[in-house]
Amino acid sequence: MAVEAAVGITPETGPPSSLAAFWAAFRENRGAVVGLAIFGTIVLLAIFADLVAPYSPYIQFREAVKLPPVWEDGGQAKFLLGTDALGRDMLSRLIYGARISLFIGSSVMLVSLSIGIQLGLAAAFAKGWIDTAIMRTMDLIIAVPSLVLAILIVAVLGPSLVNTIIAVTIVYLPRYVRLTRASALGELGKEYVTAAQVAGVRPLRLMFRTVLPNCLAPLIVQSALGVSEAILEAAALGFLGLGAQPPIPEWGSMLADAREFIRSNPWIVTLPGLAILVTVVSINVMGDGLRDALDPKLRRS
Amino acid sequence: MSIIEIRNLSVTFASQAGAFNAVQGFDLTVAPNEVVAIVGESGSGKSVAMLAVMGLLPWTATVTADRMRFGEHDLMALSAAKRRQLAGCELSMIFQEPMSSLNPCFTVGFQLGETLKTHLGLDRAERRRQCIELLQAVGITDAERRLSAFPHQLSGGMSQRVMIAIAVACRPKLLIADEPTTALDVTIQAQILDLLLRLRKETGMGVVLITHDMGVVAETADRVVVQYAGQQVESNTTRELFRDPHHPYTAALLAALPERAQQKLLPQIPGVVPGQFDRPAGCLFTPRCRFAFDLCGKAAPVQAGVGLGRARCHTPLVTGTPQRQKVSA
Amino acid sequence: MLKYLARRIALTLPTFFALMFVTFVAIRLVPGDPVEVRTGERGIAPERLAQFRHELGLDQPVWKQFLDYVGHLLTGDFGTSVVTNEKVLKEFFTLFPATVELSMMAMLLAIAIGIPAGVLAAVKRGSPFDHVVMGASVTGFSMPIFWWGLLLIMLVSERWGLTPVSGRIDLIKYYFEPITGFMLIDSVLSGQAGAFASALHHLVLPSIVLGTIPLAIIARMTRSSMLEVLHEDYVRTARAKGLSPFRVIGLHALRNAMIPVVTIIGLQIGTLLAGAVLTETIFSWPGVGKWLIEAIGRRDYPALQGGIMLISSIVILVNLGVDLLYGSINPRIRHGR
Repeated sequence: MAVEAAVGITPETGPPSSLAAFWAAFRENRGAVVGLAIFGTIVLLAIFADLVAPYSPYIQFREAVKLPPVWEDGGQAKFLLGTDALGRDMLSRLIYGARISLFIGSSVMLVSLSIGIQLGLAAAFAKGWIDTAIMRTMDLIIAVPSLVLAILIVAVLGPSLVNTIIAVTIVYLPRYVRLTRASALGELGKEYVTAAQVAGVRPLRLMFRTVLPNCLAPLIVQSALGVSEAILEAAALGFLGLGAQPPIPEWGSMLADAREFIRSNPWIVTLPGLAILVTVVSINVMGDGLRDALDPKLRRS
Repeated sequence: MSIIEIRNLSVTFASQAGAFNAVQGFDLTVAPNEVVAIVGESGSGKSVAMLAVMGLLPWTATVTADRMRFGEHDLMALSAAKRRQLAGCELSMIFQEPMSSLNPCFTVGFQLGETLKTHLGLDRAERRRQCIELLQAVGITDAERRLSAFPHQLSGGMSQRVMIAIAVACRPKLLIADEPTTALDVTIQAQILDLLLRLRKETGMGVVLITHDMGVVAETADRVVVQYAGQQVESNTTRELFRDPHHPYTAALLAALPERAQQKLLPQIPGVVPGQFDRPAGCLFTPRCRFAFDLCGKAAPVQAGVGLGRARCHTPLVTGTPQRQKVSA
Repeated sequence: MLKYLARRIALTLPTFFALMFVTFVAIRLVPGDPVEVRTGERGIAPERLAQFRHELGLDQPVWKQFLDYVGHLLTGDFGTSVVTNEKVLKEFFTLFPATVELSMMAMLLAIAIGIPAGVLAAVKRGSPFDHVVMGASVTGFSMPIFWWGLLLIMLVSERWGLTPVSGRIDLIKYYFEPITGFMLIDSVLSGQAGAFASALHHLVLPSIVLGTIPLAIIARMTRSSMLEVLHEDYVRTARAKGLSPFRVIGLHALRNAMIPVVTIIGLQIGTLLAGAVLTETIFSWPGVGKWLIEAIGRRDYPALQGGIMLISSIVILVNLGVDLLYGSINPRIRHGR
């Protein structure tokens, strides 16, 4: 019999695009949005450093050495955040330092991501001795504590900006390799891969076009977190004097120079570290938001 | 006196999408030695109602009832500590997935003995003795060895037996079994149900059996309560219910039983159980009911009299025909 | 179980070998002739140079050098420091207890604070406490510890004068021969009044600094593991049994939630040793981390090589131990399923 059902079903306008769905999920996490905003600001500062920074980070103002920030007495409006031991403007150095750190972070992330994906996929697909060789090498890298290994590599290659990038890349490579390999192995068991193989897809194409897109979610999250880890590691190397050499305004080496001024000029010590902290926290919080938005299983109502 | 008496139990969940009314107007009475079955599809609220009785719902749930009496205790008024004293002792519950309901990190003996220690305060030697007895009572052979087994070493049927042993360890007055056999093989199902009935006979406890299987109801239950979308739509003795179902939903459920089939194709109930967002106005069964007419979509029906199985229908069925007179509750 | 043990041990052997190879190659690649470094810029007669070369075994073909190296390692000879002329192994293990003491204290703090914080945050999910814990832990593991150490020294030691700036004990007041190398133990054994307190006093701030990152990670991991476990069926069963909330959460839930956390704790050992390098440098803590950094500065390559070899070997062994421990906790592996 005909039923007059007062069932409330709204007509669908079509499923939201995956990008829109992702953004909606990401937006829910207010912390992540704040992190994104802060990180975005830092990126912009780094890119437009030449326009934003009041001075060059290398100019030394001999008459304005070790000035405190403008809000302390003795501070000058000319140098908003004060100056360091050689009279260089702190604000400018910090802004250019952002450029250096972000450059290191993103370089490390890009290189280790691309090499890591290739090695991980190779290990997952080729199996056998290639798999073993790659994974044993990764185990070896992990066996040595990260900073110790980075120190060793820099000791061999010599301290510089580029060598810092190389060292940190090697240290963090295993993570990407393991992640890719684990994801790929998980996907390999699925039927769409078998179907593609039967259809005659060649291994290379299979690796990159078929399987890789499905492994992306955890890789994206790891990449975001990888940038922050790389920044920390590079700063540590800089602090030990093994990174970018002065006068390059790298935040870690700025801290190393500031060590003697703990008592007399605390701002020289506080500010570079604060810059590192804020940058890394914003990336990490953003990465958390990314992870929650990309993997619905992890979300809980 | 009945072991448990529940009148007008309602459970509402606060969720991101608004309040969700999972159970409305639930009534239940269980006498000693009686097996009452609660039947319904998924989403009918049958488990939620019993979880509310046990006090196992999350904080997002609001539980209201006119009466929720267990023995001489008013469950609504009891403190949390007092309720915990009852749970696992006089009032216990077993669940659907026995394999995951046991803690993988502790032995069977530990988990069984825990109940004895918490509620009866027995010492170690006495606990061990009773644990062995309990395992034997639920039909587990080689009980002594099983005490030191870990849950992952047990099969599904054995896990459920252990769960039953834990539940009856303190000789409860009421045992709630939430779909205890759904996850098990058919042959094991029969054994577990037999076990429950045997324990009932030995101890005189009441049993509430939640199930979606009408066949199980027919074999084991004295009385039946039928749930649909959170509401109680019929309540009667098993015999009466099967002989003459009064609510169209019950009739449709029975008609779908293979044993009752009269043609080659089993009759289906079209449509699906309404969720949170597509609740029809009026009677919730309207979209799927053969006998629905215009009043059904407008006004919510009240429950009919006991003679008509307290069916929640404007026109309860009598021998398959809807009665179009006004009936008082 | 025994099979598992044997397999795990066997797996570490190639890693050790690779480690030896890598440290050997790396040190050979470092620019600067070790002989010239040792002799300095004074200028030296060619015969003496050749003699040094011979002493250091540098006139042999490379593969033979490697075999000699491996042979030495297996007999426990990790080389001789070109700076102090002491055996590297001896120097390392003289300084190692300081690093261990610091690391253990840091880990203790991290576990003692991190696990309860994580559990409470999970149980009170969404509450202000939860948000504070999450915020603090993100900040914690984003922290550059060299800066954090400097900051704390600045505030706590310098400005407020609550803790000492460097060293392991007040050397002016107390001096005793090290017996175990662990200042906390030795100070008690020395019988000098107030020595233990002084040792503890010196240990506080470095431990906090070193333990910050592990604390943050442990708290986070505990929280997320606990959140998952609290939804499990067996927790519902425990509640249905009428057990007290303390028992349900503290025993039934926690035991299961701890399994991934223990793994993380084990993995933190490597992080601790890396962090120790920085912490010891800042607090002038006489451990292997500081020693390693100084070795670089002084171009003491045998020390660097031996030190890295030793640290890495210890990390590998500890990871092995953690794996085996994990296998014994998790009943599934124990019974060979």
